[in-house]
Amino acid sequence: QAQEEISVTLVNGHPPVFLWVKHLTETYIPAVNKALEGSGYTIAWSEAYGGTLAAVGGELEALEDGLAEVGVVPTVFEPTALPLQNVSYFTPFSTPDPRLVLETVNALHESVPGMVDSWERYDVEYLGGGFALDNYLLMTNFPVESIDDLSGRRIAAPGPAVNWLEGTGAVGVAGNLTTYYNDIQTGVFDGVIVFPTAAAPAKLQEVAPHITITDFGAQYAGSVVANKPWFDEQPEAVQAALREGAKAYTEAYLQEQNSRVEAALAGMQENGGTLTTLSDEEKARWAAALPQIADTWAKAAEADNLPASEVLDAYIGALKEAGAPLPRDWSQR
Amino acid sequence: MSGVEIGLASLAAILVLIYSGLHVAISLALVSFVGIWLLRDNADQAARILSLAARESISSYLFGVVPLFVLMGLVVSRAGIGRDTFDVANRLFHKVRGGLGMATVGANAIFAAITGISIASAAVFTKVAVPEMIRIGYTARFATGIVAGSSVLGMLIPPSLLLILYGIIAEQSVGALFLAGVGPGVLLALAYCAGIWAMVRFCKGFTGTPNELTAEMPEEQSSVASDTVSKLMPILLLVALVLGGIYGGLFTPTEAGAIGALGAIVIAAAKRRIGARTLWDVSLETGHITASICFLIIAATMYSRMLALSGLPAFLTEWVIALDIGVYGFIALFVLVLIVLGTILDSSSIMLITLPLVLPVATSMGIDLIWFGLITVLAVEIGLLTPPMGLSVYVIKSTLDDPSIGLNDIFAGAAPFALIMLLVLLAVVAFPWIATGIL
Amino acid sequence: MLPATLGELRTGYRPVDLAARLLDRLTVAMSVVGTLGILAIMVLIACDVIGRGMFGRPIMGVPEIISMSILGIVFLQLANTLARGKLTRADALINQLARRAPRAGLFVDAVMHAAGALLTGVLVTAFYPLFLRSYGRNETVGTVGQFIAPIWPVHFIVLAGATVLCAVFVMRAVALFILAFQSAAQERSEP
Ligand code: NA
Ligand code: NA
Repeated sequence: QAQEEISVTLVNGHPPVFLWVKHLTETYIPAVNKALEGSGYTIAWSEAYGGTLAAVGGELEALEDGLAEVGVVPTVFEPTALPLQNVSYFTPFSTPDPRLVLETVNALHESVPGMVDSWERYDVEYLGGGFALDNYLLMTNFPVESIDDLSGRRIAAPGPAVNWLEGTGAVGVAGNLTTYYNDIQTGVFDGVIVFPTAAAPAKLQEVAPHITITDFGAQYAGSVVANKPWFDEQPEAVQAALREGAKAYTEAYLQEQNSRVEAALAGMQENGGTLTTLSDEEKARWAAALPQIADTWAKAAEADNLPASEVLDAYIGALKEAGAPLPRDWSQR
Repeated sequence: MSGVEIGLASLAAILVLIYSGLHVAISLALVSFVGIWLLRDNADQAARILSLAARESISSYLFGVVPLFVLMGLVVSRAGIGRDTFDVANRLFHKVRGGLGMATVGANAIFAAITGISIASAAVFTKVAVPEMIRIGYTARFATGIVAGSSVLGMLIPPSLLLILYGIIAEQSVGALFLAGVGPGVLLALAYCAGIWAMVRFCKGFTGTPNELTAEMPEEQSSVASDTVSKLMPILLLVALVLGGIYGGLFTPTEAGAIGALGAIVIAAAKRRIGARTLWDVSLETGHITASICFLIIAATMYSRMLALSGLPAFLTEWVIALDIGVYGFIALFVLVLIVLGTILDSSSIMLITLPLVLPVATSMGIDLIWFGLITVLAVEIGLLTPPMGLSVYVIKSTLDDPSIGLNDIFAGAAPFALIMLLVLLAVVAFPWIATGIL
Repeated sequence: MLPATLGELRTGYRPVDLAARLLDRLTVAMSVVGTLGILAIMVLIACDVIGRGMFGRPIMGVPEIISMSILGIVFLQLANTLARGKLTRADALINQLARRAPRAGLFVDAVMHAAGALLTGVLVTAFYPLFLRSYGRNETVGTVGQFIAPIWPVHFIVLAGATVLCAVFVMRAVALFILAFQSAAQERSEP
């Protein structure tokens, strides 16, 4: 049987130390290759990570322009281009479980046509997989038992998570993981909102030893996608294999993430961090103190002709059905 | 041609183009364009990749503050704050052999705490220190060499544009890099002082026979004290503002550029050293320097993407690891390459060209990237003093505006200081705590 | 020495010299805007620091504003930087050539600037569709609930700045070629 070789460039802006890049090499490529066995097609992969083809946040445009055929687009860095995929960031205190978030958003892509349409605006095909960041928590250089402790404190957070501090009395500042350690050490910030698998390698517990499990929730953060015109030209077997790989990728990512989260939390405690869990009443107080950011988000996305209300209701509905705690029902507007 | 061959050919092409006088950024971008075209067999894609790189490469907060560090340095130099610092340092050292040279080094070290670029230091102290040193008997060669050598302190002692640049490329904390720069910076200043003493003592033919005691001093003791205070006040205020703000938790090292620039303007205006007109001229000059640096960065990003596509970095990484030369062998090789490139390229270009190639190797060897950053910056800065393209020397020559002192004289004068830099570099390699001990 | 700035490149052909002068004015105007941008960044960061430290009120969107504006500032300054002869190059060899053989020096320098024109021309043609796209889609940066701004004005500045930069390269190449041929003619007429 004759073999036909297809060239595929795989893009992501982060370097391979990040789990969602690591599993492109370790899981996605082998899984696609395996699915192609006996199909008569093989893929010659070239991997472009860590800004070698596109910087973080430049992946979508690189894929749209056909500079890469397949890639993982970190949707969290495309908040205005892909608002629907960012639904979880505007519904904080959802669920600590990344698997539930990932599976829910993946299912939304099947049930709400607007989800897929929002990708197709950029000539991109959603392949049915992605990654989620682990349950965000609060790390501070002062103990936190109630939101009253936050009054006047400067807390750094990634862009969309600054919204989670509105109305709490804390001063939310948009920050960047690479400078958190230094900026807390010198006192520019008193704490950060961060997820465990990022906090542990940055040794943040050394400068912000009070780790508070706030259950801001796991967050949908990226999708495996392909350049659509290219994808549509591929034979069915190749299309199926690329989708198959996305499933395997998601599964492998979730499994390793789970063990990494546990190791990260344990490691930070061993090295000077103290772990406390915010009480349910305080979580509810915090959630209630926030402005209706889901509504603000939905209105902005709907002005862009995207079915945000539908996505919001379906997302919260699915979480409720799965038994997520939900101290605040963001679909109540 | 294979990808790796195209990558290697591109290195040769860039060197040829740069030597023949094509603008450095254009050389990098042009070779990147042709290289990607060859690699992907598609000119449209090559152009598209370059245009995305152009938009992505400098669009960040860290690059946003580059002009502010430049502006701070230029305001300080135009406002005469560098001259005042020199006067005071001169009083401190005037009884020591080679004291005026040491004063230049000391003033530069203090000045370095508020400027992020060597160009500013070189320009200021050429105007301030060189005529004074020549007047009391230093040879022009030695006097300009001291200024050239000590100007590199501006990029070693924080804040430093090169360390910021390294932090961006290597994804390391700029704050940590700044702290790690203090030790090597102070050591280099001390080594320069020792070197100046030894040269004045043993190589009179090179240094001339200075008569330090004829250096000008105010007459009365009381007026000396008040004059010292008034001259030292602006620079101490600025240093306190910048360093105090950073370590007092008021602002981040990146934000310090804005506060420092604003502080320098306010202090200079309060001392009536700078008017609206001068401020505007300085701002325009800042714009030109910024554009020049950032265009280089854009082009170097294009080039590093072309290299990545060619597969050369991965190939080299595997090759060096297979060579099994160990950490010190690798560092020796790398430093050698930096010094050779330093003869012709400017500091930022060298870092932008080489770091994407070597950082993966360094990471795979488990090298501390903060330490590695200081080694890189020190080695790259040697290039400021070496012919044919030694930026500090060029700045001194153009600031001096004296046809009797040739480029060759200045390069000869700077040579011993380049050698001292190399010794300090070896010390930092041998004793990493010089850099990382403070962290 | 080779003529460094656009203003120094007098060919004696009035249309060429006039065009060079007008182009130079345009680059100065753009550079002024870029310089104001630098001062604005300085004030903005200072206000952000003071607002955060003294009043617990940082300014929203400062990181986004800074990262967008530095791109604009650089492209506003580039053309004038080249016109003033301040774009980094290693001109030791070419200056030596110009001293020994002025005509060859001018000619080589003209070729260099033609290469610059070619490369920036490529960039301009690649920037154009990107600008049209970000304008057409009204692409924005920022976060809902914090700060949102359109990105196309910056992309327009990048396109405009690259175009003028290309024009300065072309202008210098043309003027240098003319000077090279004039000095060739001079050498022939006075042996
Ligand atoms: Na400095
Ligand atoms: Na050099």
